[in-house]
Amino acid sequence: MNEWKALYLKEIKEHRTIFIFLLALTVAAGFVSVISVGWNTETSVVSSTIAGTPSSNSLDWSFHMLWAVVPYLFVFVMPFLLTHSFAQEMKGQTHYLLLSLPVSRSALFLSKVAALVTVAVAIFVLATGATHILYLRLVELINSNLQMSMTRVAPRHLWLLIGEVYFAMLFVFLGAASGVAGVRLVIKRFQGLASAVFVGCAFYLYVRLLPPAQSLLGYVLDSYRIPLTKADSASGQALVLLGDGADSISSGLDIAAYSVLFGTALIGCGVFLFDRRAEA
Amino acid sequence: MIAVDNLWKTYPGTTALRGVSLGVDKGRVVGVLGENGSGKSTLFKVIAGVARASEGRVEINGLEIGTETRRMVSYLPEVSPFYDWMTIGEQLEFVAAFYPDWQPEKERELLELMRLEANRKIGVLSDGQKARLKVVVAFARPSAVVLMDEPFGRIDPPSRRRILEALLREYRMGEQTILISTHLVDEIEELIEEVVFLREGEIALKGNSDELRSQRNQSLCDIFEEVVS
Repeated sequence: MNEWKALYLKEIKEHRTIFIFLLALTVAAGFVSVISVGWNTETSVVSSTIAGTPSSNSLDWSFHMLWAVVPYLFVFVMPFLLTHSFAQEMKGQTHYLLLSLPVSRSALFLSKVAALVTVAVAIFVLATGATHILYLRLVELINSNLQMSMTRVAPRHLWLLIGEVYFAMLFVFLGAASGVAGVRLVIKRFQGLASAVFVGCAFYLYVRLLPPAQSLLGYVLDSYRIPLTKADSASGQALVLLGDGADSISSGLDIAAYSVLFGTALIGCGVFLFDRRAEA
Repeated sequence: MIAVDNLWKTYPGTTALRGVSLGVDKGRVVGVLGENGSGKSTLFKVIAGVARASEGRVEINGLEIGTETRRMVSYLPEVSPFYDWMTIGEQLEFVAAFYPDWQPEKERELLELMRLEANRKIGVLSDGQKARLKVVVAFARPSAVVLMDEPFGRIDPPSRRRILEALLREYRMGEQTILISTHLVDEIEELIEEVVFLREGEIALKGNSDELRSQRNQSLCDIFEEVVS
């Protein structure tokens, strides 16, 4: 346990600058998106302005709201950080030390993945927290200014929907990067080409296996649907279900679960190859 | 203590070790000597468990190379394997987490002996200071086997003497088996008890260093020259 902790903390500390940068950017983006939302009396729509001046341009509305989306894009950075981490060990020759330690190769590999997943979780919590606040403000503004009830999902389901997409992508991308790290240990020449072929094959397989996996997992997970609700304009609190036919949406849990499983399998491939082939 | 049987190691396009067989008893100090590219570092890597044998067997205390044997071995590679962003203290704390037998008192004593300060960043250390840090890492615990790959190459001669003295002291305190690879034969001649000469991945000559010296009436340095040529 002590060994795992040491490896994990080493990874966190080693990349602390980029991690802090990503988290700070997440907080800043969330803050900008939340404070910029207001009500534009000229256009009678929710608007987004930084300096408090209402905007008459509906494009500004979407532009400022996009800040809430930016942190989720950091999920694309994670596979590059994983690949970079392995490359740095080789470049700095610190792999000599790591490989001589009395721990399994798997522990060395998984500590890197665990550190990145931790940071990805922190980014998700901060970004979705901001999105949650933004969402509540939007609902409140629309309900109070238009005197109408907005069809919506409950905030907890907002977390679920965003989390599904975010973690599905995170695991698939980390899996691809893990696989690439393993492939680079096996193939010594044309590593760039081999990595590209591996990533291409992985995504082809992901798409090909999606329908059967969906039907298989759908039996268990697709029965969970997310109810659509309507805030009562009088109180703004009570939740009223909509009528027949539009009272819920698919949770998409089956696709998310498949993606996480697929990504985990790819990480397993990377761990297997690293365990068998890593050497100084 | 260490048993190497018909060890082969191949890399793409080259064979580093060709059927090396070797036995080292507990508590012995063995010099592994040879030219650059003779296979010394590869032999140490395989014993340390950082590289895999292509063929053959290597055992330490009857155990095949793996996590358990890595616990018994202190390996000092030829390169500096430390993280530049860590301080010396952080690096030692990181390594200590993997060895329950790590001795903090010994660590402090060795840091003092090596004239290293725990709060200094590794990135600003000279090559010689990094080499001395490797010695601290290797001897701050009573590991059964110490593998030192070219430990003195980047250390100035007066410091080499101090490190040698430390090695002798550490060795006499315990039953550590020490393997040292170097081309600075004269520096370790008085220290080593057994000697293995490697040439092009094969053992060219091995034996007790005193016996070899008396049989040939030559110093190890001269024998090295002869074997290499």
